Amino acid sequence: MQTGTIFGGYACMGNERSIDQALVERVQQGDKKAFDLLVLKYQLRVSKLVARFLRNPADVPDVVQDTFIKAYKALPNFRGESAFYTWIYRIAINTAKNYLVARKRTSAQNSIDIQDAEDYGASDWLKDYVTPERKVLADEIQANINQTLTHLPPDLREAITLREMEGLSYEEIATAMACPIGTVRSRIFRAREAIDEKLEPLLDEYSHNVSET
Amino acid sequence: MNVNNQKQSAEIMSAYIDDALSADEMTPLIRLNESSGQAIAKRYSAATRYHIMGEVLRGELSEASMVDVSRQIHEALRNESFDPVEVVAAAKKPLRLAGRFDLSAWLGSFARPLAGMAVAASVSALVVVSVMQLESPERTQPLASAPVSAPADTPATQMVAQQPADDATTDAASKEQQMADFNNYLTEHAEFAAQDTIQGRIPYVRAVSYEAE
Repeated sequence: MQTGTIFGGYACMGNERSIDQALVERVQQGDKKAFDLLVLKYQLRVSKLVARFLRNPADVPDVVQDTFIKAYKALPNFRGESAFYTWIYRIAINTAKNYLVARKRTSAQNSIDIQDAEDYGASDWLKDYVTPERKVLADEIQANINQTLTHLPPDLREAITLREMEGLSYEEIATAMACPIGTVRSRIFRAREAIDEKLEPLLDEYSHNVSET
Repeated sequence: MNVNNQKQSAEIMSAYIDDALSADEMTPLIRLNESSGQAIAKRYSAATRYHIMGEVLRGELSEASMVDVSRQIHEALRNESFDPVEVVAAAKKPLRLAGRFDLSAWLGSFARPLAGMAVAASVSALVVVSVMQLESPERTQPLASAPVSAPADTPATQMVAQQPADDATTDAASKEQQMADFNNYLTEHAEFAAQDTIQGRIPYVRAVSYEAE
């Protein structure tokens, strides 16, 4: 089943929409916890999108939160005619623009459309707003993850690299590595767990640093 | 939840954020989401770190990558009185609910059919008036009353014989009148028709046309 498309650096499988739609239907039936799963899945993509519209990174969490709350309120009207992420991306853009208007600010990227925002490099945004302390910590996180990656068993390293750096779907990785999809899934998970052991304390330190500043 | 189950649920979450869950794995995902609050928080934190891990490996780590508003959204929705099921039901609810009379809903229920009826009545009236105009005697009556003619099978000699004696003088008078009217018409036509041609509008320009030939 090679129906996946690369979207914002992520390989989306053909069953993505059906899982999202199933979760949406559960929310529409009153299951709020199912909405938590949708938030978990899309908050990073929405955050990155919103960050490209707003000049102040401190505004991003508020706008992302507003976006998801608006989406939740509008879910009864969502009929599944488009993919959930397309729908919520549109809400995110409108929320960001409304936020700018409300604050009477101007954004250099006000006129960019959804695809332009997707293609816009996050590094440009990062250059202006990362403080030196955070930059050092971010570099430390990057170095640690890369070091952990080099010490991973080759099959785990290859699986996580193909997934995260090349953006391949699990099916494509299974074909490339000549192994079942279940094995790919397990390898990717084990690689993540190994990296997470180093990442978790660093992120705690990062969060502490951010809350202090 | 034992260690194996924890690993399994963590693997499901890892596959979920990669959009790599099959449709039949929705149930374990939902069940995972219904476990204890602490377990959910731990799993959600791990999922957020998986996202960050991907950002680092792709070299796209930014402030926006660190945004995690899932807890805030969960809290906001918990306090939110909105319930999608209630909203869907509200669209179908009767006008009188819990003994409270909703005036705007009552007016709304009358306004729409009344507006429709008003439009239909206007169109009907317009059609009736138009038909009456078309069939009115002024329009159907010929400009000049048609001369009384004999039936086609009446012999010509009989027709001449049937003419009254004073008809000859009456016909002659009316013929002169008709000729005078006709002359007036032609004169006026020649005056006004000239203005509709190039020669009439720009008399000093020589225009060659098919009519001139």
